[in-house]
Amino acid sequence: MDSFLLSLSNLASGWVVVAAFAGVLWGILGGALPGISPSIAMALLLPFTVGMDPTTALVLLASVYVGAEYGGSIPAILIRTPGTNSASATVIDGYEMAKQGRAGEALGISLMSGLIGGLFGLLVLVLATESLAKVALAFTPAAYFSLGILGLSVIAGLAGGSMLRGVIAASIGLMIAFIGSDPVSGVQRFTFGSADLLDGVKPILVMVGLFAVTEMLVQIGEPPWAQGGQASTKLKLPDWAMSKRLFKPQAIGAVIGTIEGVTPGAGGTIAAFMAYSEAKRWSKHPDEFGKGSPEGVAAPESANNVVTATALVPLLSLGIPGSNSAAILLGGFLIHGLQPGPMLFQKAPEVVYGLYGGLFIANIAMLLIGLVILGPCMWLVNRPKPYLIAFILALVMSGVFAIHQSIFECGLVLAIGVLGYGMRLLRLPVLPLVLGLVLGYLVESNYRRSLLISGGEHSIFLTDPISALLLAIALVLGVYTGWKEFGSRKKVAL
Amino acid sequence: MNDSTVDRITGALGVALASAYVLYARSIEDSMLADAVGAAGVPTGVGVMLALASLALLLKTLRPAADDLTEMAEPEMDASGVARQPHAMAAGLLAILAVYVALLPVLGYVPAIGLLIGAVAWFAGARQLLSVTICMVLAGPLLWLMFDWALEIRLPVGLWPQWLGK
Repeated sequence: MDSFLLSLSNLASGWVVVAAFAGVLWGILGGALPGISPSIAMALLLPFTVGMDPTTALVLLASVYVGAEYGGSIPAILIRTPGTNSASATVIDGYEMAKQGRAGEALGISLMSGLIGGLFGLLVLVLATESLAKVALAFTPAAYFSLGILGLSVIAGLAGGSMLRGVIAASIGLMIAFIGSDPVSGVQRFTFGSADLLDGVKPILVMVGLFAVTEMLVQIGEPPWAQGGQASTKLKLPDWAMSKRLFKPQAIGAVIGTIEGVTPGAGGTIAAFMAYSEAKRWSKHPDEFGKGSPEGVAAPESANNVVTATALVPLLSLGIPGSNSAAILLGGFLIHGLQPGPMLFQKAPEVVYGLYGGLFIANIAMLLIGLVILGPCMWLVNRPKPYLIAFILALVMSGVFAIHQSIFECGLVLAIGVLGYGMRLLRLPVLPLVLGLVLGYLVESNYRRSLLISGGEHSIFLTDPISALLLAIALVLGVYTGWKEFGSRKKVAL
Repeated sequence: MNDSTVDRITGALGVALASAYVLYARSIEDSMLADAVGAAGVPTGVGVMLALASLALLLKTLRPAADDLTEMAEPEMDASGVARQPHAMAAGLLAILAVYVALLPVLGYVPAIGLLIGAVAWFAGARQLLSVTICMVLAGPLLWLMFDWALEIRLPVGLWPQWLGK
């Protein structure tokens, strides 16, 4: 509690407040641009932090992370283009709500869920860093493999009523994930001799292609055209009744985000998908999911914003950067001569607690900045459709080029857009594909590492207690979801 | 297309993709560093999984009218909303995007993105020449300012330096 009070005392520092607001604003801009990941947005600011006071510098970088994770949901809701990987799950119901003229409501729910998730994550970070760090250390390759299987077990819930189609889509996602160098031997796989594919296909390229390009290919054939200016451009924050309804999905997102956040490498994307699936499972209105459910926006947004704080647990306590963004933050520590890890709390407590205080301000800044910018964002997407489609595609193609300055990747995104168009025609759900893509590397690399450790014995997955527990949960969830989804004989299109 | 036809096409394409994928995977040569599973092991497993799921979907179509899901899914078929003319529109848009990708390294970012915006807006139905022209002329420099100047992400300048003899 003392540490929490000390962290609050940092609110008095004017520069920390400025850094938090500036970082969030920059992060929202970066997160909202497809192709600019939170880590890129952070990395762009890293050189400017050299001359700053360590606390201010780290608050600036962490605030960019907070802003970017939230910013990714804005284009996800408004134009079906997730600005970040972890906003992919928000697309499902967020965009459906926008299509129904409820964009303001969806953005309000996203903003409040992000705020609640961010503050909950911060509380966990402040109160439970040391104990949660032990969880991170207990994860063996076998446990990571089982974590990936647990993630894949939610496919049934994302398959839109057809398990077979879900499996087919997930298989395609896994196939894309295997493109590039083999994680164990380094052998090239499925690259067809192209040097551009050696590093594999980045998930953000697939998501932009599948969501944004596909959507534009469909939209271009859908009249009426100039319907701009009809939908409401007013931001609507959840009222008391809605807040009560959203409490459960937000809580589910918060718990899942905490677990995934403290696990290095798991990340916000898996958390968001799992939170979505679990929120649907526990909802009183599961039929609304996929058709514009507010709960379907709240759960993933809460989860991926919790991760912005809980992902710092392994970094601060163990010095392990569990994600690209955490690695950039680690760079921020090292630039200022600080080494994250157990000794950090003794050597530079003022920096750690200053970071806590800065994160608190960053979450408040996210709310205030969100309230200001969301109205203009909605106005922009209500422009006449021909111009909107043109500008979305210009932004998407610019963002894709910005990732690696690669013309090849621009072409690749178009090809993925065609794949997404074909999947729509064949009524294949895209979310299992995204899940397969995100989890492919995690599952394969840890499966093979585990077998290397065990000398080829598959029993390692059952003798490792965490692995066994996760596999058991995956089995229960998979069977339960399958029974609930298909036993009722209801077909819900995604 | 009714549900049964879609299932049949999906199943057939899935089997074909899985077969090609597994064949390709089997041709991957392992290095000296390979483990027992090998570089082809997991992909082969996924290919088999795809083949089985696709076959199951194909087999489902052999049970006519036994499945009430077919009837329930009928309205959603239209909801997917992609009919003949929209395919042509989508192909046209794709062609414009492909031309943009081809022109980007030649013309450079600013002219290419301006042309993309103009072409897409016109193709999508915008007919106000002045508005389209203003968008074309302003969008390129504005996006360039955002990416190249503010975010310090270098965008292609095309062959202009070569053409201008610089």
